Amino acid sequence: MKNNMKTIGVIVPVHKFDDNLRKTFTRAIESVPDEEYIKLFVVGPVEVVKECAGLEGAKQGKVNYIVNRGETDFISQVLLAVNECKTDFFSILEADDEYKKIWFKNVQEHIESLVDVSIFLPLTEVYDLSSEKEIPVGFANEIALSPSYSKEDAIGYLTVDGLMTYSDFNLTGAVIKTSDFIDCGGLKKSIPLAFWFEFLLRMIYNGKKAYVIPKMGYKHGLNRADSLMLAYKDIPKEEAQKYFNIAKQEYFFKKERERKN
Amino acid sequence: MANNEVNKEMPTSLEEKKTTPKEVVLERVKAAIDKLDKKEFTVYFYVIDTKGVPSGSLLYIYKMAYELKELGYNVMMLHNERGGDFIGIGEWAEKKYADLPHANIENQKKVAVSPADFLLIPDIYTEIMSQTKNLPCKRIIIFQNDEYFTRFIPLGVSPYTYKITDAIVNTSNSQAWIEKNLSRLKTRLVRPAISSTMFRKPEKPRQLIVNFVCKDGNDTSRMVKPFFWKYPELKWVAHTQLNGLSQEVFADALRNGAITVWVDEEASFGYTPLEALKTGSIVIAKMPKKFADWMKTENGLTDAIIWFDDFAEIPDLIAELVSRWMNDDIPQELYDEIDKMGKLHTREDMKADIEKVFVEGFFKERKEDFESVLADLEKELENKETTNEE
Repeated sequence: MKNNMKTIGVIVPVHKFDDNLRKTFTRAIESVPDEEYIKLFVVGPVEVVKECAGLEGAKQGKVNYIVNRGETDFISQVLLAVNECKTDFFSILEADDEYKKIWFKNVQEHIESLVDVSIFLPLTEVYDLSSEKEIPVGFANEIALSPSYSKEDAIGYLTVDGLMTYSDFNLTGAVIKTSDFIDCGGLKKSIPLAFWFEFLLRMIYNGKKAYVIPKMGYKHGLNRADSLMLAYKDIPKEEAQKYFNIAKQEYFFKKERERKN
Repeated sequence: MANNEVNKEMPTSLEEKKTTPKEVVLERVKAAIDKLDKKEFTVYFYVIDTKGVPSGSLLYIYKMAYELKELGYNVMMLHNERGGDFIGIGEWAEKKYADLPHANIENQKKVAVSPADFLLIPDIYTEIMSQTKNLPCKRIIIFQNDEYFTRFIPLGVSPYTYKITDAIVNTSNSQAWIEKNLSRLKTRLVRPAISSTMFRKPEKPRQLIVNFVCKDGNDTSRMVKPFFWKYPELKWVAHTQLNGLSQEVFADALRNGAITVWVDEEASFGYTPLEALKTGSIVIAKMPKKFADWMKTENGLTDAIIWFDDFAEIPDLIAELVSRWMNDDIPQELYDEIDKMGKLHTREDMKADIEKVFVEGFFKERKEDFESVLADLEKELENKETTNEE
């Protein structure tokens, strides 16, 4: 490991052990490159963690298991693991997703040259998992690379104006600076569904930078039968909109504004 | 047209000296040799004011002048502005080139050149070749594009009509063309230089931007629109048309973008693709009518460029390259070939050619010519004196 390389903690939240997790878990953790600067964490309830630890796989010896004895919703699991990982950066890997082989090499290059960026988002390949076959349905995060979204001299950077018109960025697979995540208050459990959007907005309002690296970094599955995110699908449209409106409320950014004044 | 500094050094008239014409000529020849020895002559370069529009061919001339100046020779850039301000190249080229001494021949009406001087005229200025045919200096054509040369020279006229016997060429294509069509015109090659400080590798990772550099702006639309029609899933891929930019901004854009698409079928040298390659960009290029030396290898064309011949190929080519680039799947062999291009057409190459062509060539030969004339004249005068004594 080069001296200037930043450590990255890969966090895999697991909440329920079933056939699906049995099928995908090994594939997910095997997609994490075998590099000294990467530390792998699996966080979940004790019984799920035990089952995962019993699965076969070359990477098993490298996994740090974090037992979560508290709430097992996505945000609680992530917050617990972020506090435990003690790495310069962290990234969340869903147990049924995969990193692309080239991702972390590109992340390190960008961390080295774009030192003021707090969040590096990947170009994500999205697959529909609702049928037996994995059907590619497109990209995620690509919009930030379009000149119609970003300012011409800042292609790839997320902006408040941009977020107000497009909010659907995918943060799984993204590499986030741990200290900035903690300083800005992490993810808010009080804003279900729109928590990533609210987090991005809050980070950028606080002067942090988020940049989409124009390289394929992550393979994300949609509509997995037991996905935690699927629960949000049942939220009525009006209620979903309410969460996004809450996320935009000024309350969250008041502290920053006071600091500026 | 008259340059005051040059005027001061002009020989005095026949009557003032009250000497015989042959003696005057003898003195002039001696003065010319002396000037050549002491580097007191001037190399004039006739240039056009492109009014802020960047031009690789024009920069080639400025670079030549700059290197001569660096070697300790006097240079002067001549231009002809009938009203309106001279804009020059300061807006888009490095300051050191714009700072070379300039003179507007329109204001000065007469440029008083001495026999030791040199006047270099770009290929398209056949009118200047004609107007200057009785000047005592050595005149040389800077020949960069046979298409343009044949377009501008009047029918029934050749450089010999204008008493020009020498040309500087920028590629061996031009050299071959001249040898074939104007065999009495002596050619010498000065390879253009691409600034390695300007066109260098990026310090930051590149962005997914496809840069289009097309001589005809409509060609960009001919490529971009079908690409987005055929690959709507890639409609977010940024593309820019790089035209009329300063060298610095242009180099930045080439360095920043992943892919450069170049179309200029009449280009004789192809500055843009080589500049792009020197920044490490992947280059897609439409085959020009003629391939410059650097584009050719022993086995055909360089593999550093992805060539195409039909605009219909472009959507698939861009889509494949974009996809491969996003996945870090560009073959290493391509990058290796691109890296090789970084070593071509350096400033050192151009300097070496200039020393060979100008210092060891034109300047030395001119002096030898004068020395030969001087020897003949001295002999003649000696014979005359002997005859008179007898």
